[in-house]
Amino acid sequence: MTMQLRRRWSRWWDTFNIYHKHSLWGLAFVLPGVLFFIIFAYYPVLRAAQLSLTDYNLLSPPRYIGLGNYQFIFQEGSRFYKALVNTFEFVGGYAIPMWILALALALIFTQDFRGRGVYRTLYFVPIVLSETVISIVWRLIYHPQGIMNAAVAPLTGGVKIPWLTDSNIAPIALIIVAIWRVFGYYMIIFITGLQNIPGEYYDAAKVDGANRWQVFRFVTMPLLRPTTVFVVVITLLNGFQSFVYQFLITRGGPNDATTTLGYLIYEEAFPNLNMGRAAAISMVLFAMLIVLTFIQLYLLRQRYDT
Amino acid sequence: MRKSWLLPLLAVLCLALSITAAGAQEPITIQFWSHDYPPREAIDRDIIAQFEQDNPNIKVEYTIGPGDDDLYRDQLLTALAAGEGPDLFNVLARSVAELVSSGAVVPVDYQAFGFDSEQAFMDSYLEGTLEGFTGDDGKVYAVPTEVGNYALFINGKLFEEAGLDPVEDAPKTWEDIMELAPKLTKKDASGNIVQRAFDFTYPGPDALMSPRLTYGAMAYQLGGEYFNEDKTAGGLDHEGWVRTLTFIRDYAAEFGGPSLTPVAASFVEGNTAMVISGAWYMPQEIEGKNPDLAPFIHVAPFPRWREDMVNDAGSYLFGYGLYVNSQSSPEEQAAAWKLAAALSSQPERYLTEALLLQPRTSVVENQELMDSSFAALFIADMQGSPFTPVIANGGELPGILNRSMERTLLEGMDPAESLKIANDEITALLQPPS
Repeated sequence: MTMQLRRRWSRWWDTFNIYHKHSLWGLAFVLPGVLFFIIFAYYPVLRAAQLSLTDYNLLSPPRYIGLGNYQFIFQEGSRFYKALVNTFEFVGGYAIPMWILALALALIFTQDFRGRGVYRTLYFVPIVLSETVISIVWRLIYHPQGIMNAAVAPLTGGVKIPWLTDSNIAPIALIIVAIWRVFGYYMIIFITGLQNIPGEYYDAAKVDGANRWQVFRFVTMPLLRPTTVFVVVITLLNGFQSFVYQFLITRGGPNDATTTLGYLIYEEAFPNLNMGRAAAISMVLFAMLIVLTFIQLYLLRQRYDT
Repeated sequence: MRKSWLLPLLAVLCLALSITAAGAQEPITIQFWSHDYPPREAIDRDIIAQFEQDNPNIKVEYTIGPGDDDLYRDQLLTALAAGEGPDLFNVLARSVAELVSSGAVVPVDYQAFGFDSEQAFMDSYLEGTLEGFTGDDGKVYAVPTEVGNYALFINGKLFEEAGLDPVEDAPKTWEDIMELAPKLTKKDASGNIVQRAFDFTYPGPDALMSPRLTYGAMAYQLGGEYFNEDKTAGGLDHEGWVRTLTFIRDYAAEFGGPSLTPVAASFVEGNTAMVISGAWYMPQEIEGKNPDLAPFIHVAPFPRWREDMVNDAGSYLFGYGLYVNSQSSPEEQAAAWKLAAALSSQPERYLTEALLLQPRTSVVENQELMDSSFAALFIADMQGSPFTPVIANGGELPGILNRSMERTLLEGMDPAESLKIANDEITALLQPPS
C-alpha cells in the first residue's frame, strides 16, 4: 500500500514538474511584487471603499452610514463640485499647453544646431528639483516684490499683480509652476519618440513631394502616437492627482480657487477629520482615473489593431 | 540584653528593604510631545532635566512638533489613531472636544498637582481659564501651558513719522482705526500700498495669527456667536457678524486687503503700523526677527466698537494644554501627570522668559511680576472674554469662517449672503451624519 502510494506520488510529481515547474518559478519571482501591490495598493483601495461608507473621525471607531458621504459630496452647493471644476481646469490648463510646448521643443531639439545639448539640459533641470523646493521658490517669485511682478511691471504700469491672492489669477499661477517643472521631461520623451521614427518614412514623403506640414501631419504624428498616448495619459493622471502645489503654495485658497480633488481629500481627512468623506471623494477620483486608463487601453489597442 | 539590639536591627532591615523596593521600581519612559515655540523649549528642557533627576525611574523623551498648529495636530491625531501617540502632549484647546468625545484623553489627576479635591485644583487657576480645557461632562482634561488673547501692537516709529503719539493716539475702537488709517497709509506713484496702517488677520498659507480670534471676537462684541444657544444651528446670520464683515470689507477696499505677505511679517518688517496679535509675538517674531523694532513697540487693548457693544470683551481666548493619553498604561499616565505638574510648577518663569501665561492665581496676584510684565495688559484684557467656541467635529469651522471672509473680500460677495452660506455650512456640521 505504501509502495503504491509512493509510486503514485512520484508519478504525480514527475507530471507536475514537466507542466508546472516553470510556472512555479515564475510565480516565486513575481510574488514579492504581487505582495507589495496587495499590501500597498489593493488593500488601501478596498479599505478606502469600506471607509467611504462610514462616519470616521480617526479617533473613534468608524460608524456605518451607507451612502451618506456620497450623498453629502454630491449635494447641491457642495465644495466637491468646485474642486471637481478646479481639477478639470487645472488639468486642462496644465496638460494641453504642456504637450504643445514639449512637442514643439522636441521638434526643435531634434534639429542640429550649436548649443543644443546645453539647452536640453537647462530645460530638463526643473524635473530634478523636488516639488517642495519648487513651491517655496515660486512663492518668492510670485511675491508682490518678487521677480514675476518686476518682469510684468512694464506691461502693468508698475501695478503689482496679486498672483496668489486673487481667486482668478491664483489657479493660473499654479498652472505655470506645474508646466515649468515638467515640460523639459516630456520634451525628452518626445525627442526619444521622434528619434525612433525610421528615416525612410521621411525620405519617402519627400520623394512624394510632401511639404513640412504634411510630413508632420501624416508621418511624424501617426508614428509618434505611442509616445503621445503615454505622455497624455501620464500627464492627465498626474494632473488629476495634483496636491503639492495646492498645499504648499496656496493651501487651496483663496476662497477654494485652487482646491483640487487631491487637496480636498487632504482637507477633509486631516483638518476636518472627516475620513469617511475623504475616502468617498477618493473613490470618485479613483473611478475617474479608471475610466481614463480604459481610454488609454482603448487608444493603444486601436493603434496596434490598425 | 539581646532584645536591646534586636529592635534596631529590625528597623535597619525594614529600611534596607524599603530602599531596595523603591530602587527596584520599574523604569518608565514617557513620550512628551509639544508644538514648536522656541522661547518655551529651553524652560521645558530645564524642568525635564530636573524632573528626571528627582524621579530616576522616569525617563522623558521630548519631541518638538511643527510650529504650524494644523500640521502638528495632523501628526498628533494620526499617531493617536495608530496607537503610537505620546503619553503626554501639548495641543491647542480647540482640540479638547474631539479628544474628549472620542475618549482619547483622561481627566486631570489633580492629586498629582498636590490638591485634595478637583475644586481646590480649579481654584488655583484664574476664573474661566480652565473652561477651554473642560469637556461636556464638566471635567477638566488638560492643564494649560498657555492661555492667551490678542491685543493691538503699535509701531511707535511709524506713528511718530505720521505726527501721532503711539500712546495718546492709540485707537480704542475699530472706528478709530478706520479714522487713523489715511494718516498711516503710504502709496507709491503707481498706487501700490507700500505702508499699511493696519491689517486684519487674513487667511493664508503663512498666516501666523488665527483670523477667527479677531473676526469672531468683533462679531461677539456685537452679540454675534458661532452657534445658537443649544448648538443646533449656526449663529452667523446675526447682525453682529454682518456688521463686522461689512466693516472689514470697507476697510480692506480703502486701505488694503489680503496680501501674500501676512500681516505678521509685514509688521515685523516695519511696513505696517498696527497689528492684532498675542503676547508671544513679541519674543518670537519681533525680538527674534527684527530686534531693532522692539523698543518702538507699544500695545493697546483689543479694540471695541464705538457703539452697540453687547459683550465688553477682548479677543477670543486661545490656549494650549497638557493632555494625557488614555491608551497609556496607568503607570505611564501617573508619570505623565507628574511631569505635567512639574511643567506647571514655574508659571512665573514661563511668563518672564517666554511671555506665556500659565494662568495660576499666584501669578496674577504677584503684583511685582504684573507691574514688570509685558503680558500684563493682555492679562487685564482677558476679563469677560470666552474661549473660541468648539464642537466635537469642528475641524471645518476655521475653513468655513475663512471662506466667508474671502468670498466677500476677494470676490465681492455681499457680506450677508456670504455669511448665510457659512451659516448653512455650520448648521450642516451640527447635524449628525445619517
